[in-house]
Amino acid sequence: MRRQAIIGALLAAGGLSAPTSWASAQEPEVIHLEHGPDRLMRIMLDRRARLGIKVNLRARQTDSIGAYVDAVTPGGPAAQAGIRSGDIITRLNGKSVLAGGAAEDGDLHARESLPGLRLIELAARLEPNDTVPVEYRRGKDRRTASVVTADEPDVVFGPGEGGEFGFRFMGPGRPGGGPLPAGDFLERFEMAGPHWQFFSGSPLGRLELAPLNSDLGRYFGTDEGVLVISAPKDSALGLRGGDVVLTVDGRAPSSPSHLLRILRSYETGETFKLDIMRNRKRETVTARLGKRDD
Amino acid sequence: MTHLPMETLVGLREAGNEPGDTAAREHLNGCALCSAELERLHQRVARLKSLPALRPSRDRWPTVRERVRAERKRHRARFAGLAGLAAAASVALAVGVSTLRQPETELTPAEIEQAMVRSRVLESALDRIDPESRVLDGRTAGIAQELEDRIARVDRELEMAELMERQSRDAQLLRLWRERVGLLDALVDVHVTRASHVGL
Repeated sequence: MRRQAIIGALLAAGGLSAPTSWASAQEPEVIHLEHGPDRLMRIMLDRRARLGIKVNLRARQTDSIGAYVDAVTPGGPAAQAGIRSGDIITRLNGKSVLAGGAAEDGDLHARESLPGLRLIELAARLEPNDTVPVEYRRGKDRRTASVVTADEPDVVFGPGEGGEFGFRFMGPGRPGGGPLPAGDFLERFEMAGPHWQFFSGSPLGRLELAPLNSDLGRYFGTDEGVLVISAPKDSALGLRGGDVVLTVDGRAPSSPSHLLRILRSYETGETFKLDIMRNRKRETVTARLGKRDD
Repeated sequence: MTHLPMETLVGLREAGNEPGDTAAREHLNGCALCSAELERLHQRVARLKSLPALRPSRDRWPTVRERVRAERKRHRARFAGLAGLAAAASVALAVGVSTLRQPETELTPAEIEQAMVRSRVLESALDRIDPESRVLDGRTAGIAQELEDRIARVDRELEMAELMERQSRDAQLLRLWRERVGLLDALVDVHVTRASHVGL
């Protein structure tokens, strides 16, 4: 308890690092868009990386400025870079969403948002883990964020809603969806609505974690990594309160949820190496993903 | 002693729900050979996972398009036989149906807008909570991440739904926006509940 209280006091002293800023981008490359539902569908299906936004595709007044963001996926690349719903994206990776746009289908363009369509086209060229500058407007403010793209969810084709042909995206608990999550425990949740039954498990078990920053780092001998606030005595990961997780098999977690994402790439029973700071000394521990309590 | 076949060992890597798993696990606990084989299996999978990802070429669309066209053709053919019979009935029903459907087509965009506004409000609430900068316990992190992944899939489906034909698009959009709101609501609840239980 005392250890937790000390760490709690240190946490209160911690602050957030400043966002990255970008220099002004180069002149946009003019790209002529080929529109039409088939073309757009192909772009979306072949896309490998996601920005973590839902961009508006209907014509609207803000189209003279850029592509309007309808929604931002929580915890996704754009959210982590500070982009919010209602922002208007003007450039992606140095390319303007207003440039180009040679119309081939007048009727389509009368209804659709050209900047929105162009943003989708530009984003489709990205690969997972690309770091790209995104310039956007929030009200009158001009801002730039550095977004690290993530993998797209896999798409499956088959009977859609009402039995008609359609598409769904794979994931645990959904029809045709992926494997159950590994971890110390597995829980089943049910919510109102279609396909809202899902399983949750966490390799982090009952650990309590916090992100580390330079203010906190002074006390632990590092300003990077994830701080273990408390850990059960039988922690399968072999961690103790006060440890700082620096890397997992060479991958550096930036936050507790990032650490969880890294650990979820392993399956129950697999072993991996954790580089940690313990009592201000660097150590390597071998950990194994525990069995579920089922 | 009969050792466990590979099929059983592979099965034991998953949660033990299958009949016969208990006996196999008991054997495993007492058999060094099978335990070692299972360990080798784990490590083999781990090594395979560390290989660089190979991605399929970006040319899936022609196959998908052909499949969609074939499905649509089959769908049309199935209903063609009923067309004559339906024509007579449709004349009689046309006025009534159009009167009944009018409010639905007018209402749906407003309902979509309502759901989108609610979605933005909940995103703002999450932004204020700022989960990334807070203490997080393993269980909460697991649930939150599952909800976030589900929202990511809904967002992808929302983009695809925008390309559908108008008559089915609005209903699909409304369903997806409502699903998004439900998931966001749950995500906010998870973080708020967790915040009130962490004693820091």
